Amino acid sequence: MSGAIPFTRRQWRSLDEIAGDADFLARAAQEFPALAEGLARPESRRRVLKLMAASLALAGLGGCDPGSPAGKLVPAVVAPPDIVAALPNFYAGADLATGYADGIIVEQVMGRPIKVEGNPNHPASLGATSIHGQATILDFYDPDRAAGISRPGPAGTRQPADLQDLLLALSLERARFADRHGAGLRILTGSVASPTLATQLDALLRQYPQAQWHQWDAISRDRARAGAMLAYGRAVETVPHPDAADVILAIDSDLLGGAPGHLRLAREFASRRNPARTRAMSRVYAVEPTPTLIGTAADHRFVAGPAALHAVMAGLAAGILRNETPSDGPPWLGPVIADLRAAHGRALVHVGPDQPAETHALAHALNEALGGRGSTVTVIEPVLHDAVEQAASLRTLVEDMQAGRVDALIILDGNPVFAGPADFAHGLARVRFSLAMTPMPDETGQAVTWSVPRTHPFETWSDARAFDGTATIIQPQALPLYGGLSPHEILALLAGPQPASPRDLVRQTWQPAMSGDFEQAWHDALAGGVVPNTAAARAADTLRPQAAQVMPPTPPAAVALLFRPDPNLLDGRYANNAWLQELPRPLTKLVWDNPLLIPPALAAQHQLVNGDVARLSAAGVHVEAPVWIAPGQAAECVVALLGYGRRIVGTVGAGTGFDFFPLRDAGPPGTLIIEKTGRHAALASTDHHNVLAADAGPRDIVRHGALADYLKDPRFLQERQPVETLYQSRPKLSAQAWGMSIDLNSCIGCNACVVACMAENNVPVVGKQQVLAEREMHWLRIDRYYEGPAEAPDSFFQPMLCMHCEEAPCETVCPVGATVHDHEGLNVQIYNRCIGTRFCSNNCPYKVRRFNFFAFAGEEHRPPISRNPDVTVRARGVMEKCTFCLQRIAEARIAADRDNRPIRDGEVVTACQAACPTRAFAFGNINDSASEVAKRKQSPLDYGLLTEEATHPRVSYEARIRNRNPGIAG
Amino acid sequence: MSGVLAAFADEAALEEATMRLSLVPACRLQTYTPRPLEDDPPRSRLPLVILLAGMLSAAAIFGMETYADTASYPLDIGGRPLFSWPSLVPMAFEGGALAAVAAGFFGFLIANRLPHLHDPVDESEGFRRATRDWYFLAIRAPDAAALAEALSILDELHPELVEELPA
Amino acid sequence: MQPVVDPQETAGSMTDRVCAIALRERAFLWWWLLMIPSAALSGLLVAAVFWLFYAGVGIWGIDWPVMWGLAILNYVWWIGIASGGTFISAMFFLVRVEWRTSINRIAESMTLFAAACAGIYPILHLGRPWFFYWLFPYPNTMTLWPQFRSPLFWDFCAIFAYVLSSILFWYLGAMPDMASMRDRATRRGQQIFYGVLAMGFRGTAREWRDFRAAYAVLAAIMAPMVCSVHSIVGLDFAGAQTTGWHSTEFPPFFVFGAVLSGFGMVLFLILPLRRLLRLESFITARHMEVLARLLLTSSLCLAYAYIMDAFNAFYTGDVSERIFFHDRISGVYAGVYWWTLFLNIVVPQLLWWRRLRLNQPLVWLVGLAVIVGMWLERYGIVVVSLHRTKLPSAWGNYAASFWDWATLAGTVGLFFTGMLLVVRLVPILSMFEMRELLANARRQG
Repeated sequence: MSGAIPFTRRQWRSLDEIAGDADFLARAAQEFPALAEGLARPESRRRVLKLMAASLALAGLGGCDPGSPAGKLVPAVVAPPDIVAALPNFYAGADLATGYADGIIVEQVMGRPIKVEGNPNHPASLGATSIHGQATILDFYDPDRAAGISRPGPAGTRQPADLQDLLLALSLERARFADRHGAGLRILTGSVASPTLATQLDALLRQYPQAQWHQWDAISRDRARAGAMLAYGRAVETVPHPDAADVILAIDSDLLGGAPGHLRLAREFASRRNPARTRAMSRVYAVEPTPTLIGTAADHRFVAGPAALHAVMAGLAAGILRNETPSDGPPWLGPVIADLRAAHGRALVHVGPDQPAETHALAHALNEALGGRGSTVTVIEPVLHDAVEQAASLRTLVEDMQAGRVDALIILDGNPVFAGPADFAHGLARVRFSLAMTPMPDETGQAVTWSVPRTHPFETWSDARAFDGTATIIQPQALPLYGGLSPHEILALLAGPQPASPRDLVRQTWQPAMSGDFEQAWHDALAGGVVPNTAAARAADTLRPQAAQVMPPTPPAAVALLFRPDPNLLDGRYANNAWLQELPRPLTKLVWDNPLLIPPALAAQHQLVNGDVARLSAAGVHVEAPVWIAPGQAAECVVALLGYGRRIVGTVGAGTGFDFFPLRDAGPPGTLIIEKTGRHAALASTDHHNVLAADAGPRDIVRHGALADYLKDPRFLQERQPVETLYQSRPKLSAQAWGMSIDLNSCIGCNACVVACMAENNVPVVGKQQVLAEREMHWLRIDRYYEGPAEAPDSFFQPMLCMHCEEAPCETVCPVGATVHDHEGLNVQIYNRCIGTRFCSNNCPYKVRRFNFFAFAGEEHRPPISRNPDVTVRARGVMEKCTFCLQRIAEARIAADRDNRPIRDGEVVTACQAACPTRAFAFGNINDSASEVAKRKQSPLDYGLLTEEATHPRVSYEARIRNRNPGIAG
Repeated sequence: MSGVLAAFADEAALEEATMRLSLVPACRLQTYTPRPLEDDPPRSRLPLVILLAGMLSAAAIFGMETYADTASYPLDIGGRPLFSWPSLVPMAFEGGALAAVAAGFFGFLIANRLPHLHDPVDESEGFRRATRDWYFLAIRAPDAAALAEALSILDELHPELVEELPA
Repeated sequence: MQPVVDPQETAGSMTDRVCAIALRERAFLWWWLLMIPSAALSGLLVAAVFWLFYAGVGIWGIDWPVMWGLAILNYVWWIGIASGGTFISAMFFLVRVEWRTSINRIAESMTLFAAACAGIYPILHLGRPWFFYWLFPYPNTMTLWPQFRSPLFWDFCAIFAYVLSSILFWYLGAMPDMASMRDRATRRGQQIFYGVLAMGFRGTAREWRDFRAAYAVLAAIMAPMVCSVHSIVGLDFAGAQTTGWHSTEFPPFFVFGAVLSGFGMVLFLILPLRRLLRLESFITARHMEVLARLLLTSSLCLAYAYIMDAFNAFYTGDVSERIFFHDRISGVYAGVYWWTLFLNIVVPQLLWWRRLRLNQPLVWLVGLAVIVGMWLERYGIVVVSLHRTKLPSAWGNYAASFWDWATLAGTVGLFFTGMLLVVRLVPILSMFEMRELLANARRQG
């Protein structure tokens, strides 16, 4: 369904209805003077209506038509020369999940976006993608987006409205704004990383000087900004460089998880983590109340609740800033301080966004004191446009709304009715004209007087800056599937009657900035996905001396309720994305839910087990939610993940999880009360072993050891004797023998590979009930093992996919030969031949085969055109599994055959490998000693999983080495 | 051609009758008994048929499997040798056994021209006891003289029943 | 020693008595009381299968680590029960055991219906059951063959051959008795029915000679065949690399278990049948005595297999085997293991005492215990082995769904429906062999 046609149809009907309305004629005369005359004469009305419809349709198209890069649309029947059937096209763009741009490249087949890859040119991506970048595709095609413009109807309902109703309404508003110089006009946005949007906002505020602009993100980085204000007196931003750091101290840090530029940071982090292949191994300490990705990847992870963290900060300040011996603090603090000091100029302290501003300021001071500025940390000019303290900004807005000072509110971004304080909705009800741009029906869209569908980032022109300031021009990947407007268009309509083309707006922004031939520069910027030389300059600010003196407020001793964004749903905006809903959370492996995470000790104290429903009361607000025991969480901390419990959401997200925003926004929590209700809720986790690995089975599943042992004997984790087998003649390697090596030192458990695999291979989502029945379909899963006490276990990630065994147990037991070996050593699954005996799965030691118990693919909530046309959609009753992205191998093989040459190393990149921010995967020809995978398999850390089964897996792992500080016990 | 059907109460009487009547050269004798009698030559050739059917089928199946795996459609299955003969044995055995059983069953039917739903002896009402407890002897004589001779011998044996057999 | 047949009986009285059950007597009340629930359960089976084909195997409780559940378990259980009949009729025919004669028809019929119940499961359990014929090596345009290395393929061949052979063997053995029925029948419909079934067998010297030869050779084939079938069912598991399955002792282990449940089911059936059909003079205390001893013997064989199973878990030195065994005796499914031991090994020990062997209700209960115990044993093998894999990340549990149980109940109904029909339609004792037995007894007596 294309966007333009329905609009035209609706205009016809609507114009007929309102053409006789004198009020309308008056308004139309203002808007379209040439047409008013004709409309007044009934006999020519029909013809005029046609004319007007065409004109409005053009306006609508102008509003919706993104244009292709060449300004042309792609016709369905006769393709233009640059579209070749079956061959993909690639267009650069950006993913905006963190608020900053992560460069992406969208693969299109026959004009439709099919797959997202990272943009190697982009500084934040370096070719990798996040789970959100990968999942954008599913959001783009989400059928629930289809609802159009709506207005309040009778009795709390919504009724559809037309585009030109909106245009007319806005024209009246414009007149009002102009009369009142914008008094009472408020615009609410998130953080603004788009230069064009910034230009438009500035222009609008100049046009209406009394209008006010508010900024608010449900998940904000206010404290980091406030920390920068404390330390440097200005909202400068900092860019850490983990690759330059020999010692990293991560304090409740999201360095690998959600920090701006986290994909790049993860790459840099991993570049110092494999002693066999990379530069000298760094040493990473993590101090945190609840497990994070960097805590899991760290060499030492220390569990610390708010009080302990406070003591640690005090100790660090004393030990490093004041050269004193810390008076108290945990026993490991001394060795850590010594380590940091010894690595002067090569040490990095990183603090997560949930820590108070003072902690951030102290971290700046520590980095400066440790000589990190300029080497491990760069301080840069602000990237975001006019960042403010968002909590205060929203509070002002709410108070003004409640006081009746807000006449018109334009919400360009965010869902404040759901994620904001409870009184936001009350205030909003007092606003005469409110307009919200919503990607799909949501709580805010339900509460405003005008709900306008916002175009998907794939559907409009825009631009955005990356974490380091580098700008990307975002070009549309397709016409709006379900219609909609972009924020640029709405801002333009607030400014004047002419519907603006977002493309022109973006070009206007960049025309002055691009030197030389603009058209060429514009083309290069689009093709490359970055605008060159736009990175933010280094800031010259010096550290304010008082930064070293600040101290975070002493936290109360009671049980603390910590709020964290759900790693997949973030603030809830991905709640309707089935891939992210069913993507197991890195450590808990939970899907479709966000139970309260409680530490083991607290669970024992309240006699709670996983799934027990608890009643949580704080600051007069109650939430009932099931609990989940999180090993490694500080004993005095309870963690609530935000973003679930959406009340108005699409089919996929309906009825999932629990909303903790009311607790967060109720103000200071005061005393937290947890009561057991006696009820139980089923929670779906893809992790069923529920035990610590120590007593779980063979200890060499995730092999790991200390760097000191590695330096003594690099092969200390490998088997000494070969596996005995009945078959004396091993199959010979063909010239092209596919294999994979996975570096467990690099894997941070971020899940990007898992979503990439789902997107590439049409892996179906099965829903919570089927996950509860242990029928999830992920071809690639990331196993998580614990070792040690539940209070502070060591955690290990292990990506698990088909091992493509040379002597594959699955093949010998299939009675119909539906799984066999090909000449390049792939274990292939022939869906058409499979009759579903499931013996192969029983016989697979790695349990990587997945079975279509039902017609999962057919029941998915996504249009068929969203699937990868190169991959079969599997029927009910057949087995499926990882194919090493056979379709990509075939594509490379065809290309190589066409040129009459062998396939080059690196020509085939599997979906998981492409997405991985840390390059944990290497894939290629193991028979070519020059290939990367063959080199990695020569690593002294290389080992195969369950090789005693004589399966001879083609996938091998590099054992994990941890650089332990000998001065710290445990 | 005409004949008579005689019934005896026990096996011994039937044996005696058979022995004595076999001396009448022209008569053809056929016994009908409710249970198998002691074996006498010639021996059945069915066991040989069954053996051959089983062996040949097993060999043919083994050959078919070998052809399929090595020549017709060779596939790399779990890195195993193409000719993995031990795994070809079960089907050869089971198929051979099934063929042997089928040969025994159908061989029995064919050798005895079964199904054979109607026979002149069925006309005799008393013949129904042939499958209960009486032992029957059907005597078919080429001419009246032979029949008379047979009847005279029968008289001496005191059969339970004598009936004329329709042609 | 007690007599196999009451000396009062003659060939004529015996034939009349046996034929009358099917021909003269109207259906008994108990027959209807049993038939109605059995037929109802068969109807449930039809519904369950219909829903299964419509919705897919996802309606069962199977999941990702436990890909095989009740369907395969029931299949192994039924095929084990089926073995009892073949054992009695073929193995003991070869060794010329006289007591076999009066129970082999019941035992063989039991085999037939148990094998039929077993035979439908491997097809039902397929993800795409309508393609089951791809297991046949038939000529097709893709020139594709089945994969001969798969134990499942062997299993398919074995079941296919076993079911067909059992039917032929049963029918051949019943043909002379069908002739008796034909000749005893008075109503036209019955005469035609049995006349067609008897195929014109009249008991000529040649027929008897070929019959005896063919029957003896077929028995000689059926005896190893039943062992091979259970060995191959064992190989379905032993041929896999899964912990808890990968064991060379499985083929004999499965044969022991199959025979045990087979004897259990024979006892379970004949004890009430002899009463209800008033066959006490043909199925005597001698039979109970012998069958009880056989049950005890096979239980002891099975005990040996259990001991070896436990021993191997430690002897092999494989850590995962040891962990698995530990889980089996103390994990969530430990009850399955201990109940298996109790029902299959401990309970049959009662049969050491002759007085208890002759206590019919007790022996009947022991037979039932063994049938249930063998079901639990298969639960332990199929489900418990799969739920703990070598990778802890792939551990999981299994719970059978309503449709699993419905299918099991349905096949139980189908089995009893079949057995009840046999009682009403087929001579329940092998009459021609009984006549031989009576003649021999008279000759010796």
